[in-house]
Order: sequence, then structure tokens, then C-alpha cells
Amino acid sequence: MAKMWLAHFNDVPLTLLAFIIFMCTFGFVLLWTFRRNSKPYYDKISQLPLKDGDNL
Amino acid sequence: MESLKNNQLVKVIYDDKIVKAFLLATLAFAGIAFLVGVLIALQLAYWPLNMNLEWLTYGRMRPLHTNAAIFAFAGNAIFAGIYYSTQRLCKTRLFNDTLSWIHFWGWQAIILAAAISLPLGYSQSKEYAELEWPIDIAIAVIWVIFGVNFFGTLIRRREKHIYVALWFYISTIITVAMLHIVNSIEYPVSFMKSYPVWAGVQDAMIQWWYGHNAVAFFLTTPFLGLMYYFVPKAVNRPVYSYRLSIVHFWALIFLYIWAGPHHLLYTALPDWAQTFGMVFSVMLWAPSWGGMINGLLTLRGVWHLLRTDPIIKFFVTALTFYGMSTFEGPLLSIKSVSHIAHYTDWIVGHVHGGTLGWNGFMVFGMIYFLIPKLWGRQMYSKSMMVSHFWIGFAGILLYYVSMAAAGITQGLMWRAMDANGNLLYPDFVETVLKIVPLYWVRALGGGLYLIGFFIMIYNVYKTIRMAPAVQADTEVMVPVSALDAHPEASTGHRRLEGLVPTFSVLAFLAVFVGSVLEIYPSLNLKQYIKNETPVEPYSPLELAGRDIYIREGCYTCHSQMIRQVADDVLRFGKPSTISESMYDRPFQWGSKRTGPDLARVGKKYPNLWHYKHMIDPRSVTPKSIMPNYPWLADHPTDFVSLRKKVAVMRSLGVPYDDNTLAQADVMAENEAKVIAKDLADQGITQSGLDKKEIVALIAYMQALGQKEKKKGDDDGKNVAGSL
Repeated sequence: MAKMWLAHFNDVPLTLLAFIIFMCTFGFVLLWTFRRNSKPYYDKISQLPLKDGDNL
Repeated sequence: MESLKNNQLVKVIYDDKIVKAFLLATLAFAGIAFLVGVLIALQLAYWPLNMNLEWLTYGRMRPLHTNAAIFAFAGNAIFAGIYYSTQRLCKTRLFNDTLSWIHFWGWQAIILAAAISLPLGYSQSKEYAELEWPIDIAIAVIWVIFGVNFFGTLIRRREKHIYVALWFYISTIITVAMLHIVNSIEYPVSFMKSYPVWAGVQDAMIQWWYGHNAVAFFLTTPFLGLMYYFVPKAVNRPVYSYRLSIVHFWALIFLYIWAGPHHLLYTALPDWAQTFGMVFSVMLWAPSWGGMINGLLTLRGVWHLLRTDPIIKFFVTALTFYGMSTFEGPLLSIKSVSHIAHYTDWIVGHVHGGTLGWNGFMVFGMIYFLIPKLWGRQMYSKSMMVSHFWIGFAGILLYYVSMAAAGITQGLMWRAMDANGNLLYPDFVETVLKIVPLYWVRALGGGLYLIGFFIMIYNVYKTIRMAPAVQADTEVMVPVSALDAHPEASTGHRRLEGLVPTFSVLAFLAVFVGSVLEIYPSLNLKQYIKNETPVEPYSPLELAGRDIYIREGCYTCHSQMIRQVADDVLRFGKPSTISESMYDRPFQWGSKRTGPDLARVGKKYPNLWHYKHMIDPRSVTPKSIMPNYPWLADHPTDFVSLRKKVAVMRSLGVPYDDNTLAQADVMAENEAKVIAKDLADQGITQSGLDKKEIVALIAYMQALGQKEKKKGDDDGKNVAGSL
């Protein structure tokens, strides 16, 4: 019974697709974020809350 | 907005009044949420506190507590924080003052409608989505107004870069809209009654896709945005790693959306979907802890503030609870751990570690940070802030430890077997009574948290009272346009970070793709399974009884899903199947067992047992902690609306024939007379009993587990042996 209907559900391609999409997105973001020479730019941006108008 | 050009600078007046309004609403509704929370904690420890009043019974109060805590307390706090920080990060006033105030009053009206309708029993019995269809529509409209106001502000910004806090706000607005609309697609029966278009396993899948992501995108992403803004402000240092925050954002929103099925482990949900939810939940460890570490390390070099500044105490503790909750969550999503924890108070403890510790303390820290800025006066008493922190912290610890202990104790008792494979604790109530002392400890913890909150209220009251009578909105001089302030931001992800529409679409795709892949298969079950076991729809009287079950919030204590685990099968019968709930709108699988599972309670007891059990549970189960439901024997059954209800169900695909459609009320009345006669034969002499709700509810209870016609035996023990 339970095993019978469970046997019908075997969406391996679907789960695989999910993993591939996630890994590609994750890899892309990681590469872009940690590109060489990007640190000074991000350091500057990280100051935004401290220079957000109240402190100008 | 008043603006005067002056040597490339423009004067901007931030709208602080709307922030103040949302802050005060946060405090008001926090009090209600916490008070009701303590009340229902006490009701579980001492059932007479249900007071035999339908409006104050646990089943109706618990949804009021969760809705007040999530949408009233956390919701108003989110809006206050977002409106405050967005104006400053964009260096511009909010897009439209009128929209801001429509948002404010609209949201408060929704909360008021919830506070009235839930105790009255107008509920869909779907966790965190209990509100009926007119309120659902109002939520969608007000949320869109909030979105327009927020995105309008982004478009008018005077800062090229969209700071990471704003990314989290964007994902919140987009995803909550998607979750709420999809989960709330329902067919109205009357002004305050509807049936969802989703049924059974589809409804379960969509509900927990919504339910889990309500935690993710209402209680996590907006609070992370607030964290990325307010923690650096409070310690006057930039976030530890901005690059880590980018990875944190994309990984979190992409992963979170898949994790919903971990609420349905070992259920009738397809096994692949369960594994899917479990794996993605475990993967969430990485971004969650990345965010927590990023927040905590923002204090590098200024850790002494933890000792001296109460605001930092709240923020650091909130981040610590975020880390602990997001460690425990994936742990609980592992199937073998879920086997013990699911349906127990361990889950309740886990949730409250997150809400009281992470959400609550973030909000308290934010309020203590904002009140002096908005009202122009330092907090009345720093020692009261410290007292609030320690009393609240002690309350959370008592709450969490008692619930984790209760949950693990009960989970182990449920599965304990002797050498012959028999349950050691076959009587369910025995496992409940064991943990009642811990319910008192939980109530004490909640009480301490409430006391801490009252100290805060007094402190805020004194501060505001001593503040200047008139406070002007914050005025600042900002560059006319800083859109070109970062010329290097012209390529790749950096460029994307400045493009609101493109960024928003990509963030939407990240959650949309996951949602489609997760939900789509459950909407096409016919492709996967042949229904060889015909299921009868509920009779009209059973349908009326089911609506009473829904109204009373029985799902808050009873599941209707026997898991595919041996102890569940030994205790309650063979595992629940997909087809058994295929006509259930809404599904009532539940998520907590303060009482036993009811999936196969039908025909297990005579009608008289159910009658006595509803009037006084202790007359049949001496030590039961269930409330009395005496009003069910007084309230008349709503036979009149049954034709409409059956018509709606048929239009949604339930195979009612023409005769049932035309005669629904007559059929129900005849069926009720049979049950009433049976009760009368056994000594229940109440006149007109056949017209009372209790008879309809008995009809529904007796139908549970009886609708699937199958070959094979019905003995749970035999089935357990075959697993």
C-alpha cells in the first residue's frame, strides 16, 4: 500500500535540477562577490548605514 | 517633502511620525500577544482556565496568539524598522505620506479584525493563515500598498547602491506577497466562510510551503535586514564582511523556499519531497550561520559594549538565538530526529527560541535604539533596560528548556516499546500528564518575559512623557543625487546592486523557481498515482461537523495524520494515505499532539462516548487536560447553509451527486436524527438534540478514517508488522 504509492514518486530529475540550479547560482554569486580588487568597493558600501543622513 | 537646493545639497525631512506610529503599535500589540501567550500556556497547565467559554478556549486563543505575535507585534516592528532605515539608506523621504498612513491604519484594522474574528471562531484552521477570506484580501491590498511605498522610495533614492538591508526587505515584500496570495486562494461560501481550492496533500504542501516561509520571509529576512542596519549603527562600525552578506542573502533566499516539506516528514507526502525538504533544510545551516557570524563579528574591537550597553546585550543575544534556532531547525528536519520531535513541545520550544530570542530581542534592541532618536530624549532608566534584558532572558531559558525537555520526554514515551514490541505507554494521556509540570515551568518563563516587557513599557512611557512636547521630523542635508557617487559600480553584480527592477526580478526568480519545482508535482498527483481506492466524500452532516471542528481550532491539539513509523501505527492504526484526505478542504493533518491523533478515531468509540467527551472530557478520560465544550450541546447546527457548502465543494471537484446537492439539509437532518436517537436510547434526554452542533461533530468524528474503501485488514498491528 504505502510502499506502492511511494514507488510512484521518484522525481530524481526534479531534485537534481533543483541542486544544479542552486549550485550554479551559489557559485556565480561567490565568484562575483569575491572577485579580485572588489574589497575596497565593498568596504566603502558597508559604511552606508554609518553615513545614512543622520550623520551627514 | 520640503527640499531646497543649496550648493548641490538638498534638505530632506524624514517621515518619523509614521515610524513612531508603527513603534507604538508594536508595543501595544506585543502586550496582547504576550498576555494571550501566557493565558494559553496556563490553560495547558490547568485546563479549568478555559473557563467553559467558547471565546476564551485554547483552540481559539492559540491562533489569536500566533497571529498577534507574528503579524501584529513582529509585523508592526518590521514596518517601523523598514521605514526608518529605508529613508536613511536611500537618503530620501518615504515615497508617499498618504500611502504610509493607509498602510498603517489598514494594517491595524486587519489586526483588529483578526482579534475579533478568531475568538468568534471564524477560522480556516491553517496555521498562521487562519484569517478568513475578506481579511485575506485586505492583507493582500495593504501589503501591495506597502510594496508600492517601499519601491517608490527606492526609485527616488539619492544613493546609487542598494545596501544589503534593502535587499532583504525586497525579498520579504515579494515573497510574502507570493506566499500569501497562493496559500489564500479560496472559494467563499458566505461572508466569513470559505473553502480553499487546494485539498488534502496539495493543501498540506502549499500550507507548509507558506508556513515555513512565513517564518523565513516574515520572521527572518526582514529581521536580518534590520540587523544589517541597526547593529552597525548601534556599535558605530560597518558590518564585519559585506561580501559575506551578499553570499548570505542569495544563499538564504534560494534555500529557504525549498525547506517547507520538513514539516511533513513521515506523512503521506511523497517520500522524495520529504527528502528534498530535509536536504535543503540541512543546507540552510551554512548561510544562517554565515549571517549570524557576520552580525556578531561586527562587534570586533568593541566587545566591551556588551558589558556596558543594554542595546548591545539585546542585539548580541538576539543573534545568538538566531544562530541556535537555525542550528536546531535543520537538526529537527533530519527524519530520525523529526520522528522524536514532531508533534511534541520540542517544536514549540524551538519556535519560541526563535521568536522570543531572535525576533523579540531584536525588536527590543531596535526600540531602545529608536526611542531616544525619535523622541529626542535618552531612555528614562538604563537599569530598567538591563533588568528587562535579564528577566526576559531568564524567561526564554525557562521556556525553551522546559519545552525541549517536555518534547523529548513525550517523544521518547510515544515510541518506547517492550521486548515484545508492545507500546510501554499505550494510554496517550499518560504521556501528557508526565509533562504537565513542565507546562507550569513554561508558563513561568512566559510570565517572566511578560514582566520584562512591562518594565520596558514603563521605561518607554516615562521617556516619552519627559520628552519635548513637540518633536520635529529629522532634517538632513544630502547630495541632490548620489546616483553617480560610485563610478566603479558599473559592472557585474555591483551594477545589479544598483538596479532595483532587475534585482527584484532576480530575487523573485530565486524564490519562484524553487516554489514551482516544490509544489508543481503535488498539483499533478494523477500523473503519479492511480486511485484504486475509492473515497467517499463527507455526508452533509459530516461536512457541517467538520466545519465545527475547524471553527474550534481542534488542529491546535490533534493531528489527523498517522505517520509511517511503527509507534504511530501501533498506537493509532495503519498509516494515513494521500487518498483519505483528498476531499479535505482545508487539510487537518495538524502539527501538534497535545491530544491523540484522530485520523482513525471513527467508529472506535460509541456516539455516547463522544457526547460525554465533548461535554466533559474527564467523564471518559479521568485525567484529560482537554477543555469542556458545553456550548456544542446548545448551539443549533447550521443546516441552512449546507446546500451552498455542498455546491461549493462540488464546484471544487468533490463528487457530490445531484440529489445530495438538492437535499443536503434534509439529508443532514435525517442523519442527525439517527445519531440523536442512538444517544437518547443510551440515556441522553436533551430535547431537540438532533438539531445541536454536538451531533454534527459526532457524525464527523465517526467518519474519520472510514471513508476509504479498501481490501485487506484494518488492524494497525498487522500493518505495523509489514512496515
